[in-house]
Amino acid sequence: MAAKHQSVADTLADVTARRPVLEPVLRAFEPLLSAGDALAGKLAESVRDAGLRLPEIQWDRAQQGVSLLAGVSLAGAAGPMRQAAEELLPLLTTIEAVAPHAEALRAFFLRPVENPAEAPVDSNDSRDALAEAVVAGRSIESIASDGGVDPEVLAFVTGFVLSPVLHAMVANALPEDGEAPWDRDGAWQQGYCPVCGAFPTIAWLDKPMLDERNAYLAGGGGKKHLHCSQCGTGWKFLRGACPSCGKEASGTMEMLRETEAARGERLDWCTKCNTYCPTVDLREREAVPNLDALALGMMHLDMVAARKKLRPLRPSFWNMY
Amino acid sequence: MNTTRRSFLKLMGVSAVGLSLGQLGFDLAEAQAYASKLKIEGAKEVGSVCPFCSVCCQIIAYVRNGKLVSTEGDPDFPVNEGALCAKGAALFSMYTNPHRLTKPLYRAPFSDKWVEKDWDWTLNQIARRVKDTRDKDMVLKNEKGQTVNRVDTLFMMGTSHASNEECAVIHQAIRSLGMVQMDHQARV
Repeated sequence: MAAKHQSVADTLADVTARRPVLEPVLRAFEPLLSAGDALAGKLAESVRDAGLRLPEIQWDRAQQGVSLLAGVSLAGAAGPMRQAAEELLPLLTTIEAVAPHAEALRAFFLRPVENPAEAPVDSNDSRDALAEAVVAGRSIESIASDGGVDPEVLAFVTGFVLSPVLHAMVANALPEDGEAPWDRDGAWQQGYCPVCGAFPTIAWLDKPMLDERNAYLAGGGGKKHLHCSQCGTGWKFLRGACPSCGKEASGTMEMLRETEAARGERLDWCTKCNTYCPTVDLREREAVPNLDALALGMMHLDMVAARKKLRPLRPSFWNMY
Repeated sequence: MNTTRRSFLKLMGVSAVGLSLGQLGFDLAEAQAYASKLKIEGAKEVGSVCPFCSVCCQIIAYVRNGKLVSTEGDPDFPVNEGALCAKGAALFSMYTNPHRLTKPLYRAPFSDKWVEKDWDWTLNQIARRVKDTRDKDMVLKNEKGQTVNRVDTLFMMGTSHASNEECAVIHQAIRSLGMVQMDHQARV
């Protein structure tokens, strides 16, 4: 029987019940994460209409560690980003530090999108450029400066606004059943995302799979998957290897967890480069949590890691202290 | 230069992250105090091989302060994909089961009680009885005159919890005594 998948609200309610001290933060971000989660489905059509598609995976490029969106134009992202911003900006601007920038953010994200048929050939929407810069890991300072928005605020907001667009691109490209193309035949072996190239925010160890041909001797679960919050991609990765430095040897990876009531929540960290990734072992849980929500809900372990001088694999607003 | 954790992350080229919770106006003092009081345990993940049969399923052993704290099948090994048979799954108990015998127990013929004995007494008893039986029943040649050097009245009862290496040593030892009857308890 397939495991039940928890919504953002259910995942955060579960965390809050166990760790009430995190409630102020979780309550503040729950509407935002829920809206972002729902948007990925709503944007499927407009992402397709905007011509945003993932390229087909090419074995040799994948083997060389070139992610699918590397060097790919995201022209057309402005429309779906505007659609996402319409729903998310009212929520984002309730946050104390974002509120003073509300007008500039609205002017940047909500201005009309030019009809591609009528736009000049050299027209370049700064939202498209922003999307490309974020995916490429380039500085967004000049885009922020041209748009009259504080760069750090723009980076924070873009993380929420762009994510559902990329999620929709990935969801549109995935087969209805069967393996994702990057998981087929070990095509992708890197610790960063096969689609957008970002490092994962969280990892999960899967549940056992019953193989009726060999019910007791194979498929015991515990396979590690990494999850990219930027585009929603999940991909398989080796348990004994570090996603950051790629070192693969017995004893390289260590884990930290609460002594009691960990419910599968732990940090996997590399003894060579001192980076860590929060991980949830689904064998210790009945339902599958929303991973983006759980990554936020595990911030108490990020605090533990910070005290141990460990570095997050994917720096995010909740894990920088 | 005084480099904070956040400024270090920025130096690493992650300025695109934007604002942290503190900058967003959240007071994290209570959460930090909570996190500082958490009881945290760690363990190293060490790759190893199940010792019980020639399939050699790989396992991940969790080791804390040099001591084994748990084992599980290695999901990245193509043969077992994380699974272990009943013996392999019980590997951890081979080292930790509180019901393991740590001293020899002896039950005399027709007795219904086990009595704790020391190793000297036990090894002497085994040696005495093996030698007496071997001296009495050793067959050097069969009916055809072929050399067989065997003793049919001794039987080696092993354990399914013996590792490949232990089995190899036990096997060589009892063969050297001429014993040909052997098995382990999982099959009887």
